[in-house]
Amino acid sequence: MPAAPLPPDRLRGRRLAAELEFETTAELEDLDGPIGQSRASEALGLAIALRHDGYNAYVMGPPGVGKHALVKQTLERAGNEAETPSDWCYLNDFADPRRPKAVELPPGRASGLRADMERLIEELRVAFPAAFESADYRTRVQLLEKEVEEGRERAIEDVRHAAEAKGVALLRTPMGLGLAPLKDGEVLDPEHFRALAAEEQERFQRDIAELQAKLQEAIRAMPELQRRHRERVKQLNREVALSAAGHLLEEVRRRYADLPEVLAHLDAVQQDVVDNVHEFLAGSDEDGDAATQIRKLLAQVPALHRYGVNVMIDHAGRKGAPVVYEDLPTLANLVGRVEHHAHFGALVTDFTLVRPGALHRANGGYLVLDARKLLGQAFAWDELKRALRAREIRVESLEKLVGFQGTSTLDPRPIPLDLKVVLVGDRLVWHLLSALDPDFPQLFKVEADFEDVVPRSPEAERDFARLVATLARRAGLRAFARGAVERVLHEASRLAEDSTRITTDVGAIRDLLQEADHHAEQGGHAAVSAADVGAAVDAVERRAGRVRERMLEELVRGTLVVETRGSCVGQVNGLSVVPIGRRPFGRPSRITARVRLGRGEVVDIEREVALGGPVHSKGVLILAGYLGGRYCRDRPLTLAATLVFEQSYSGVEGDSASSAELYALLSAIAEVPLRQSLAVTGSVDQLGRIQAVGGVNPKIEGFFDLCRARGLSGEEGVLVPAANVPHLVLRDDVVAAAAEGRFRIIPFETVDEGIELLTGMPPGAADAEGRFPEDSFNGRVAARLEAMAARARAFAVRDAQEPAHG
Amino acid sequence: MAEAPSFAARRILVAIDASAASLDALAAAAALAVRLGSELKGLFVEDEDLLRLAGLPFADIVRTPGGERERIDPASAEVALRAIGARARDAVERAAERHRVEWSFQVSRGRVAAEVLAASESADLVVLGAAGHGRPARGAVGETARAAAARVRTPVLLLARGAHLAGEVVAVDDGTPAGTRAVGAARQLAREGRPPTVVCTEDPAASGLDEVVSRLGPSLAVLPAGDGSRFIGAVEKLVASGIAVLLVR
Repeated sequence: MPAAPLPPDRLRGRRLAAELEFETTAELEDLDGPIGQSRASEALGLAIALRHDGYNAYVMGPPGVGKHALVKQTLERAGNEAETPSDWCYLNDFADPRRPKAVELPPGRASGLRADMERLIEELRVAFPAAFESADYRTRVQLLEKEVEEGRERAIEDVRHAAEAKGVALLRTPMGLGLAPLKDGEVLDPEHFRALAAEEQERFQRDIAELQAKLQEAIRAMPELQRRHRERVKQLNREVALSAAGHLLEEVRRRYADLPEVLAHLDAVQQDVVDNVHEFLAGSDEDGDAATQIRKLLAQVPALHRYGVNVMIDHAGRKGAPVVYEDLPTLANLVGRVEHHAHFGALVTDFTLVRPGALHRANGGYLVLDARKLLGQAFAWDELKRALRAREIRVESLEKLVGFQGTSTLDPRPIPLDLKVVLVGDRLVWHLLSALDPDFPQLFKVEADFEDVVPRSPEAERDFARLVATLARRAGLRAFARGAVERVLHEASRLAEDSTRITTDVGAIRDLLQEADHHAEQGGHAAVSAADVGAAVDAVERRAGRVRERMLEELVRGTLVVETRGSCVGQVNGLSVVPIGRRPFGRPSRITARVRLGRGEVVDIEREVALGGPVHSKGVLILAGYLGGRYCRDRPLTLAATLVFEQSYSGVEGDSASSAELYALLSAIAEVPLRQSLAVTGSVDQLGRIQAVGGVNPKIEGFFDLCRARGLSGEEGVLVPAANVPHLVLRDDVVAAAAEGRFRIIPFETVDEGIELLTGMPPGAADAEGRFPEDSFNGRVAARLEAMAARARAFAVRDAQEPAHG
Repeated sequence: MAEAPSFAARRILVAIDASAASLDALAAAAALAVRLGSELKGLFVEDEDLLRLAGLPFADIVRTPGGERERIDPASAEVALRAIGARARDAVERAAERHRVEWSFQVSRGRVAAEVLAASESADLVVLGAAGHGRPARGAVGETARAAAARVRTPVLLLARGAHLAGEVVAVDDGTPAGTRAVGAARQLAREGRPPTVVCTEDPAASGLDEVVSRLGPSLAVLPAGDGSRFIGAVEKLVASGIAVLLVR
């Protein structure tokens, strides 16, 4: 008995569960989280719970399934329960200013420290000038200067004395100090000198040589004298500075008594302030001429800045751990940067110009990044991995990483890193990273894989209705009536290509809701109705339907030949899907087969001209296996067959037409015509069983559209694999035609079932010896193959009897 | 009390030898020239003692601050003096142009003190660095300044290195006509709105006077000129503590 057409209720998903009672979605509560993503949710939970190295997560799934929303919600919840992380700031290292110190502070105290240090410096700027302008200080300095001056004078004076005693004058000349013989208080001129007795001349020369040596000694001792003086002034300055700064610093110290690192820094500040007190005494800006002002400007920039506090992150007012999403994960936005500013034409920097990145902000909490965006940024991925491996944030500039350094820069000490990174991306990127980057599996041990579809249970339907309610409310749309929700659910199943499943593509659902709301607004409806949803769906189909309509037009006009009436030998209607944009559509194609005597090969013309993909070729080769196994188990298959998708110019892939091709081939062998009112989809195995295929809904709808355009007689229909029946979620017009008996969708499980439907002949079952009844379809196939084998044998005998002429 | 006579100086003589103290003296002289509308007369004396020294067969100079010994001869001493003279002239010219005052410059050769004394004949005020080149004397005031303080008939202004006239002014009045003139000069040289402090004493050379003046913290002290080592000692102390001293006769 031939297989019967499916009843209309099996051609689309079932209706909304009856127990789900509501009039509009206004009555439904918001849905907390996405539908049916428990696997991904659990994975994220694991990543959050495990504090060990490498338990970062990669959240993957198609776009629109709500990955970001789930990640945000889950992380924020975890963050609220976590401890608030520490504040971090950079402080100047007075011993090595190129390597600023990273200092950890309890949450919320970094800004306070910054303010305290700013205030301290302001106070020192007042306190120091006051101390150094005091009469007491001036007197002490004058005393010291007088001492050194006197010391210097004394040294010269001693020589002068000694010289005077020997009748020699000490002369201070613009060229240096000279010693000249005196007579009667006057310097002797050369003439008078030469007139002196030889002994006296010699005495003078000897005395002067001695005095010169003394003088040299005295002069050479002066730098040391000067150095000692400077030391003493410095010591005095330190004492005065200490007494002026001591109590101010002490006040800050008291406030940070619990933080040894800050106390150590304050000690260093004290030391530096005391050593460089002159910087606080630069005077007011109005003082001095232009040159003094410029000198002051040049000196000031690095000067008092260095006692400041550069806050990298301050968690004041935060309760819990931060969740940071970095939309533009450049290297600098991730790890921070060292900025420069122009100072008299040169680019300069200091520790106050270290800027934080997302890692600083998220440290102690969670950082969410888009995988594709991250991988698209130079060095960002490598630096993120490095930071995670080393568990520290090191601020590295791009030019430093590429070894191109034009200006002076810093090497800030790294900050310890403890955070979870959640990468959000598609599956392809995950697979590529897993395959190509050996670090990736070590650093991102948790994959949170989002479902594309979820099973359609009553619970899922209820959640779906709540999802519609939530999305509508969040987008400020009208409430959706129950019928409208049912219609949206139908679309969700169509998107899942399965009547027993629902898509998780929240983005697509949201789009549909917004467009349906637009139609409701135009129709003046208070709530969105099923008709509004239908209108939105139709509008989408129409917008995306130009190519589909042109193709249908050409089929109807006969430019593309597909017969839908009568019968034909070696020709069957196959179905394929044209994958254009987000709305793929089905296209019927004529598949033809010709046979002749040959060596048992089935030639796939598509493959010969490189228009067929490997899976299609595989399907065709399976046919030869089926023929041989079914009809020629104990004799050679002596046929040559050619198969082709007529008027296909752009390639064929997939094995979903292999059953149709088999029917064309069998029809050609048996010379039995096939009904052209039926189209066939389904792949076949070597044993003759029909297997499920993809895109069954658009395929049926494509053939339906053609038949309807030519006028439905009730003969038309599609043979679909029985395994595909659960996938049927057909358009309302197709279901209506089926209900009226004008179009048939017939499930079939074996090749023989299809034979009977397509030929009207009984297929015929083989007896124990493998022979088919003569009047059956299979009997005719077997007989034709046997006849071909006999012809082949006859050719072989004749060839053997006629010796070859050489 | 009689009205103090005004202090006028048509020509200010400043002896400069390019030493730091003499350049400070030049700056003070130029500032005074502006205040008093005077002409600035620069004087550089080519020290005869140096030339005599250079002519000796064993003439060596000990350089400061390095302490190296270097042989000099008359030719090199001449070259050096000419160079220093040119520098001194430049300095006077620059100072005069900056302050827009009339100026002249004169070079003479001889003993410095004698030449300054001679040049002071045609000046109304002599300004000197307290210790420049020449034969150093004991203390802060050099031989030339001592000689000028004792023998010049015009008022003499002595400045140690770093001294200036921009601050407070103190006058010492010993009741003599010179004392009265000292008070008059102090009034004229004091800044507007800041009248000078007058210290009255019978003996400007009395010990402790310099301390009294120093404690008032002036930048200029105007004294009736005296002589004798006590007086010079008092002046020396004031000069050494950075105060410019104007001796009025």
